[in-house]
Amino acid sequence: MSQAVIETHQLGKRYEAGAQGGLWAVRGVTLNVYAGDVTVLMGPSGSGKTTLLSMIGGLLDPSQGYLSVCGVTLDGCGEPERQRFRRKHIGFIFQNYNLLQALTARENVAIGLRLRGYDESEADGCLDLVGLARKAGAMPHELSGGQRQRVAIARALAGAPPVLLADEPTAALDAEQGRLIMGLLRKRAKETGTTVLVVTHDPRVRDFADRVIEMEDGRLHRIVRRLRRVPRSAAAPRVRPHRHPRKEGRHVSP
Amino acid sequence: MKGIGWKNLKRDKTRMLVAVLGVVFAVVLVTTEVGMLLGLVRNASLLIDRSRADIWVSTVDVKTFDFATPFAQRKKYLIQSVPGVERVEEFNVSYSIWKLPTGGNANIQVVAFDPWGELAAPLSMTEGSLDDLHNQDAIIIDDGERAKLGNPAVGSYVEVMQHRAKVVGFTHDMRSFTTTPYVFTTLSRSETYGWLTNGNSGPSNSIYFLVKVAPGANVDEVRRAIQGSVPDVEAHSRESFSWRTRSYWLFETGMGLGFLAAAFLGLMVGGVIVSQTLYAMTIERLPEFGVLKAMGASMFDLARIVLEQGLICGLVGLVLGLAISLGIGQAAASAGTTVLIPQPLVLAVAALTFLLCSAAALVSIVRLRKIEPAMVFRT
Ligand SMILES: Nc1ncnc2c1ncn2[C@@H]1O[C@H](COP(=O)(O)OP(=O)(O)OP(=O)(O)O)[C@@H](O)[C@H]1O
Ligand SMILES: [Mg+2]
Repeated sequence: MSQAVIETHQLGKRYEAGAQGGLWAVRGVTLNVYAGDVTVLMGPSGSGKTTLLSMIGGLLDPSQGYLSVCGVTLDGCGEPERQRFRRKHIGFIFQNYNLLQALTARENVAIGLRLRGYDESEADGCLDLVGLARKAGAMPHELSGGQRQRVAIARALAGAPPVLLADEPTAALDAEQGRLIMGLLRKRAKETGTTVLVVTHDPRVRDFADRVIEMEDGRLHRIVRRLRRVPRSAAAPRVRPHRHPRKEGRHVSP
Repeated sequence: MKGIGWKNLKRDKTRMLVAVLGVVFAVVLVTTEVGMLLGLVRNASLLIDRSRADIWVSTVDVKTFDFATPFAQRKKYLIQSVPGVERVEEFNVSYSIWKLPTGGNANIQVVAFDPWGELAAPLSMTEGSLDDLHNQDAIIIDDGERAKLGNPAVGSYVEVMQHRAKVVGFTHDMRSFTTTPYVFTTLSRSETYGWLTNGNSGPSNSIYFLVKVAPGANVDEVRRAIQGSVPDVEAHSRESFSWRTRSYWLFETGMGLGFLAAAFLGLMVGGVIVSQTLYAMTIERLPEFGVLKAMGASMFDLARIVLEQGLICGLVGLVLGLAISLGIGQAAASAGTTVLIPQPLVLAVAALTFLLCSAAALVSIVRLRKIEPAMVFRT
């Protein structure tokens, strides 16, 4: 198997603030994620999914353990280095799309390109990848939720970062739009070898995963490798996928 | 990140309007207050600055042009005999009373000089001519002071110090600092219309002598020679007397401070409006700034957006504010108040606006520095 794009060892994050005077939101997480994989992170509310995703994305400094993404060691590095890391390696996708409201779809995508040093004229091409070339001149408020999320995806994959991180990308969308979004992410992973990590509560998102990781109380609870074909047409999967869950390992942390 | 600031403003036109109004407020206040001060200060020493005398001779310790005291006219001959003095002319300024058609009185300043002379400030006439001063009882007033004096026309007969006087012409933009209208007349009438006695009615008195030094003579040496040989007078160079007059009004009366305080207050209020508006815009868009930070935008990139917003509001406000100030200047001129807006003032106000808007943006930038990139998943 190829070199892992995301590598963690006994990774932990402690929030000092709080009523109880501190809390391990993530602890003892050891995990490898490989290029071209779609990994879905699930678990109850407060189990530490967003915290783990934030550390992997270079948004949050780990309190403990080893973390390397795209060959960059992220534990203990400062914000300027993490800023450069994010710019170069990570595309983010959010539940609420987080488009810049004053900018058109094209201009939103152009920001992603500009930050990564690409020519802004490629924005239309990125929008084409998510099927929104026609809407390039539209303002976010003129687009539907699903269309906004597709613009956000175009922005995230503009400049082809090797890792896409999404936190609840389908939570604000209906089932069909959700499938469309996940289909796009999966297609991207398979076509370009982009590593995709998606946090979700939505069980339907499992259908698009190569691997499902369940978290509980800050720990990895279960890793499920899915051995199934994902529907070709992401927008309308007709066949219910055949399930073969297999326990990869129960991680017990200190 | 160029252009985002402008697009943010376009999308939030109400806030942009408020910020622009804040700038307009500051620009108009600073420009008109300072312009008015400059106008007043110019007027204060106008008759000194425009005179062609090298030296002004007065009694000792005169504080300002308007408050000189009389001294014996015969000292003219002593001054004339000082080596280096080429020409001496009498120039009198004294307070007096003008009878209004309503029955009331107006205070005036009678400025008496030799219309054939060479040293007094030339009158800039809009109606009538200087030669008309040779007519009997002739006086000239400024067109901007007509309203204060009962709207006399050329040819009108009026009463000054209980003597008949005839308005023969109007000057333009030659007004006093004290807002007491100047009434120009000839030397021979200075005691008829003015008040030149120093208590006991004795020999004739004068207020100033204007001195022209001979070609090649050193003004400062002649000035000191006059002070040395003529008792109880002070001889000033034109520039130093001008400065003494201006600085009296500016500093000793505290008036300059008053104007500058008003201008400063305008700047502060405008600045607070702009910074609060930019700050509100920033807070409203904090998630967007967070996303940019998460995407790897630098602090410089984010600061640039806010700065762009501030500077655009500043530029628009500056242009509008200056236009309004020029309009106010015009209106003030026709109402009889001089507001001077010279180019250096415009440049200074532009620089001040630039600073103001940068400082206003700084408040937001400080807030942006505190953004945790991890906030993007928490909104
Ligand atoms: N900035 C913070 N300061 C203190 N505690 C925090 C902070 N952020 C998260 N936590 C705590 O850390 C724990 C994990 O939070 P996290 O957001 O990672 O959970 P999550 O699995 O993403 O939950 P959800 O599914 O509700 O989004 C929670 O108990 C939360 O209260
Ligand atoms: Mg979460």
